[in-house]
Amino acid sequence: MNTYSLNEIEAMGKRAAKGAGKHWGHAEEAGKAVRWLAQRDLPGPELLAACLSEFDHVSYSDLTPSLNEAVWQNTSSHDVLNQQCPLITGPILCDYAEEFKSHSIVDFKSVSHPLLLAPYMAIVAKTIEQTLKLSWSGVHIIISESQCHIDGLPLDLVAARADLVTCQQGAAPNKTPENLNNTPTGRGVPKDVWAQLTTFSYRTYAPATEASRLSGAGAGVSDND
Amino acid sequence: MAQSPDEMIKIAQRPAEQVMRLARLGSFHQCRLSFMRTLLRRMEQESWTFERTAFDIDPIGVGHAIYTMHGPERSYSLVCFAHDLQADQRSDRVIAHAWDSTFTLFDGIPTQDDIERLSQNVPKQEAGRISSKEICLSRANRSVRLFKHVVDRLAKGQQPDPKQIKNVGYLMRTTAVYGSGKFGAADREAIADRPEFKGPFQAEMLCVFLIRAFALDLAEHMAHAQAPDIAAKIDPDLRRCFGVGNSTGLGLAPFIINHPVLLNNWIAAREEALVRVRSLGSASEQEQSKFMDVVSWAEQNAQSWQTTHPIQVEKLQHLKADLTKLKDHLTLGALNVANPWDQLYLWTESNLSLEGQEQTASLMLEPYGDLVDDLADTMGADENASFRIYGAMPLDEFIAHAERIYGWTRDLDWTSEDRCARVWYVSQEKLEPRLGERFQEPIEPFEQPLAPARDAARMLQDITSWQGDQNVAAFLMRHPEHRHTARRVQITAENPYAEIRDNTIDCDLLPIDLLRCKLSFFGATHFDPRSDRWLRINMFRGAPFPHEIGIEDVEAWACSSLEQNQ
Repeated sequence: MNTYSLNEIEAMGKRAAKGAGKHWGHAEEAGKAVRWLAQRDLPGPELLAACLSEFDHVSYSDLTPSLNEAVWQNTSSHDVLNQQCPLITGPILCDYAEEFKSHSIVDFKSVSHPLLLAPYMAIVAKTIEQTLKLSWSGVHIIISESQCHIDGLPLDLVAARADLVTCQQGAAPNKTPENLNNTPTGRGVPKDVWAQLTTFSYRTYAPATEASRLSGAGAGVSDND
Repeated sequence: MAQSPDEMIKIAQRPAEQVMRLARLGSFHQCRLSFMRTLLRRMEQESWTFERTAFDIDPIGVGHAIYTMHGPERSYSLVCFAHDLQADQRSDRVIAHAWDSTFTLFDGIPTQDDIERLSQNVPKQEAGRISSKEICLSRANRSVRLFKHVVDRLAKGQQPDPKQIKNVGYLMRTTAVYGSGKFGAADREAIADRPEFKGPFQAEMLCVFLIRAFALDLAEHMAHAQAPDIAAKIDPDLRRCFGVGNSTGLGLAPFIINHPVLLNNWIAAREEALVRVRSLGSASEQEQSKFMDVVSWAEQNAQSWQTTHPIQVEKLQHLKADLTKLKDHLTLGALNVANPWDQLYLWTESNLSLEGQEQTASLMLEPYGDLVDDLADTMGADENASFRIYGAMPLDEFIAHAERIYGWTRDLDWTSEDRCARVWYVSQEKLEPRLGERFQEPIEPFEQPLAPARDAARMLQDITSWQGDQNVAAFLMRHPEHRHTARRVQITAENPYAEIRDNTIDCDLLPIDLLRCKLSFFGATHFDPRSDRWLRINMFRGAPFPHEIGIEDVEAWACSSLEQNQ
């Protein structure tokens, strides 16, 4: 286990997501999402690595949910068991956040690594200035702009799948909540998880050649002066 | 001089289309709002004190030293490690793996355990790990010639030759100053609410300011080790002629593109300062005389500016000619008119090169600290606040913004190889940004999103044929490849100076323009390009040293010639 700053976690999340085939915009948002989780001492890097492995290079069109009014689901014919990728569903949810001011928030059918939806839901909560309750089997998370309360066993929290994720508006915070404060001091990440993310991120780096070493960074003048 | 409201005229800020061109950004000069100057201003206002608490370095220059500063609420320490570097290992480039000296800025006062831990990691730089107790990580190489000259002279009991000092300008140049959570350091967010670090790059500037003191102390220490009985100390006035050098490469360029709100806030602060001065109805004798002084300084500064790079040599010739013209113009009474600063600025637009225009704009702020210095507080940014895409924005409104910001990209022929000749990529070797040739190297699959102009042109094309729901969310759901561009459109709609109005992958791109823009805000002078993609600068040249804060003037140094100091 090594400790990484939130800045490193975000940068790694962005690069790894890009390396796994996400578009740059989604990759930027995945970086912010993993940072949001790590900042609350939640296993963001771990879930991101698992999620990217599951959907490695699955195309965007195979992961776009159908925006049925009440329940979003992935109806594509791809063999990822019609799971929703939170790194795709999350940004769409944020883009439509304003609509949830007047309509009730949707539920989500078959979501992979549902905890990864929480950072996106936090953006929605902030946008519509409401407290939201995100739930799946054994887990309730109450999210507002400034708070994040979790009720559930750690194993359920990091579930690889949820058949149904529900979202309710205006949920009252727990009376004795576990308030996950922001702790911007970095977080320990298991070595194998960091290695997995590093492997994805390396797909975005160009192999070094002597030509790039010389011209790409601009050399040619002696530094001994 | 107080202005009555009826004397004031209303001037608009210069439009982004004019300011945000690379040729202009690449002609920027330091000003009152530059980060080195705001740091020193704060040091004086808050009576910061400094002490050297360790200097355990052997005669060949190997060991460690600690410099601690005490502010009103907190202390910070620069922990320095000095090494014996062989000449064949000395490289300023990011691919180097050994340096003359390595540093970290520690949050507080380090314990013996901290120093032991840092000694295992800081000398390795990128290959080591630091912790949230550290704020910056940095390294520096000596200017071998000048360092040797200074030590030799001092060891003989003599002062170094002012000419040689002038020619090089520094004993050490930093080749990287990392902050913001790099290599395990404290995240920017963890220190951003401290008043001393609210402004951009204040921790990094503090780190460099202390490195300068260390470099001078090290030279004196080594001279003393050679000849304890006769070694001299450098005369204080001559000492201040040493700045600290900095070698800067392509890494700064992506930073500017990736921090659009921050870029906007830097430029907007300087533009607003310019507006405030241009709006004045008249200039007092005192203000005019102060301005004449800084113009004379700028003239001398241009004269003493050493560079051999053809691009900068030519720009420098223009700058020198511009300053002569400016002086002549002022002698003819250019400021004895109504709205003198506005008149003067407009005169520069039609008579001077971009170097001269931007130099004059920076100098015009000098007599007006009371009017403009408060703008330094507006130069930080929270990029997160404008990160979310506003999906509900009606598409016609979005297109109007995109056209206003990026409409010019339609006029470029994107099928021409010259318009997309370059690729920004990251090398596997050192994970640092590089710029390559799209049609000559196999690097396109690794392209970074640092070509906003081309990406915007692509988005505009797709958007004109869009038939779906008329909002941003619907368009992006179908076209996720444009998300990062859509975000920039919405950010720039709110922050006009957030985007560069030029093609950053053109065959004619000069990356040093991007670097110079950023470095001018740091407060750098004497830009010395070493190629079209990296350059050396001088920082804190002429400034007081830590032990002189509260004694020496912290404002005058930035615009006084070194000759006056001697």
